[in-house]
Amino acid sequence: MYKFAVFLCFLFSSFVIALFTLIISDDSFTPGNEKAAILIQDLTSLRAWVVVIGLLVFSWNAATNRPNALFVAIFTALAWVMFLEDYMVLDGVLFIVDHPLAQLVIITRPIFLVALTYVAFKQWEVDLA
Amino acid sequence: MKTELDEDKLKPSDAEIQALIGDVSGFSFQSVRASLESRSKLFKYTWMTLMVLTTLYLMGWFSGLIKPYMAAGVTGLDADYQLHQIRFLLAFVMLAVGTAALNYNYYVRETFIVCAWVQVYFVVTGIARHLRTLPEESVGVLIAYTSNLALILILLLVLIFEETRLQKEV
Repeated sequence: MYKFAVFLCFLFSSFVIALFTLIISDDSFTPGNEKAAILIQDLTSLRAWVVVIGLLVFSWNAATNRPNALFVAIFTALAWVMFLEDYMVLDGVLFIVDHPLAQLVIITRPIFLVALTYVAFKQWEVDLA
Repeated sequence: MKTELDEDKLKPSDAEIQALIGDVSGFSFQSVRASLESRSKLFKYTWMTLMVLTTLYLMGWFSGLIKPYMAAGVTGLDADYQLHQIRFLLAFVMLAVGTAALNYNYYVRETFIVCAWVQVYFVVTGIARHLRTLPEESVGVLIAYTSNLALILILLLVLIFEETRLQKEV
């Protein structure tokens, strides 16, 4: 179950990175509100970087057998904060496009959050074992 | 036939009653106080400063004093205002989690480390947002905003370092 949850997290992260790559290379992704364009650009790029850094550090720690629990706990908290900001606050201004990849990211996000939270709790046991 | 001696044996002693009362491990500000007393003075005063800052922030928020220093006050964008509201709420959630961690003396260092990283996220995104959108003449707003967030981050770092020191000493 732990490995499956980690797999889900990696899968979602790859979707986010792919989406961000599409956004910066394709003009078809437009914000719902013109005034919020800069805000969206900043937040999207920041989230993509957080995902990339998270993947790199988690993989490095796992490969070198270093404790990962605190790191995963920090990223879980950040993931929930970003989700709350996006869902509860920025829903009206964030880009909502018909692109299947964007829809895939939106639909799979709750699954990713549950999987990441499970990994965060399980990681303490894994580190202590 | 029961004697008085047998009945006395059935009654719990004062020590047993005290032990039963003492075992109640619910949330209580007495426990938070005891937890703070077991730590260094620096930790205690840093925590109290955080609480005072929160109270001042609440006073500033409800009186409208800090409104001109918020991003929404300059950009006029609803998203900025809502973003501030949700972060305001999250800060209180973190404070509540920190207080609970202190109350139960449970993963205090780790809790504050997570809070500090969330604060780093607020600092980075907040300053980046101000830098991108504020007019050049509004440098004062940027300085006020940065110093406010940086002060909270420094206080959290002091708590983490003090807790780490305490754990090493024990």
